[in-house]
Amino acid sequence: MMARKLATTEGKAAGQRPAESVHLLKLRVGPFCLCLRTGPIRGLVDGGEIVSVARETGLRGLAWWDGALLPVTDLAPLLRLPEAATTSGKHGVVVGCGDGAICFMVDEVLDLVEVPVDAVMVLPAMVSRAVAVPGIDSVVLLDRAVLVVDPIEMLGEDGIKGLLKAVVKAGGQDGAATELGLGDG
Amino acid sequence: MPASADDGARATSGVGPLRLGRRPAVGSIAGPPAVDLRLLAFSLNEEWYALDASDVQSIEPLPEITPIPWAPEWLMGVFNLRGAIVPVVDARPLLGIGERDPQGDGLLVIFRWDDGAAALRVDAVDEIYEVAGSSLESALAVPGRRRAGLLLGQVGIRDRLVGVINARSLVKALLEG
Repeated sequence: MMARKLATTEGKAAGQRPAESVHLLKLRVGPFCLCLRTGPIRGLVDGGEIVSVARETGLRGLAWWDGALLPVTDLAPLLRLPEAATTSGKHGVVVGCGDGAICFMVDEVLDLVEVPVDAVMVLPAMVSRAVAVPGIDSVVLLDRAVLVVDPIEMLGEDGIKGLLKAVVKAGGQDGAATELGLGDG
Repeated sequence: MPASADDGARATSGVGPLRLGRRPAVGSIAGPPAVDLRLLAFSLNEEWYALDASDVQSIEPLPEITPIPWAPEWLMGVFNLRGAIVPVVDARPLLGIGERDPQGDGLLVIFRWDDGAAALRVDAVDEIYEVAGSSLESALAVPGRRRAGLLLGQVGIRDRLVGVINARSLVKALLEG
């Protein structure tokens, strides 16, 4: 299986590194270079492992991950990117959500970085007030300022419910939501 | 464009310490007028604007700007200013003087407002001028432009009409959409 788990890396990091550092997965979606905190990330999935389904709202496909069925969705629409702005997402990032997980497709996975906690800063008040989108609230200083986002927060409760409905509709499995463990997301 | 050298003032053609321009001859009849305002003049799409110099922190070269998803048109993104994250504002859409040009050259004027610092993207920076408060006139209303409330007024400097931007009103207008 091409999928890779990141939990071990994170576990090692937690055991060996001082608490003053934070681990981030750097990736690209269209023109945006972003970071995700590695804590909720379960692993990476190659695009070839995704089973496409008839496109339902927000649902791109399904993936088996660690014995569970995962909904796969694109990160690009959550960033308000038109479909043409991306290379249609070739890599999946599996992010924990409740007892389950969701796979977010991105264009590139660039790097795993470790930075001091104080390198991650809250976005300036002007930006927070102007953008006001949950999950977009931090930035990290790498070679340049890079946004730190939380895709689960960006998806929101309604987005998660919509994905589950789409999974059920696409797969015809009434028990899919329970199996995914996202029902209480 | 930087100031011409015919009046002896030194122009600030780019990044560097703010320089004090020669006092303009506005309203000067008997002796120099009382100085109430110190204005940093800059150009935006071939028009001239100014900020109160006391609100200006520094002038910076245009850096690599990090775009923000869901950002309104006026918010170009953020950048790292010596360890601080600063939002970059393009006021052109709000002032009604053209579209945003994300690839263009320019400078950033870092100014302070109530909740911190922000950067205003400008085409070029001129100088700081000392201006008598009495020379500040009400800004002319221009059809199709939303200027009322954004400008403190306008003042004549070296044959130019310079719109004086109220930094706090600008930010307020931006955030209120």
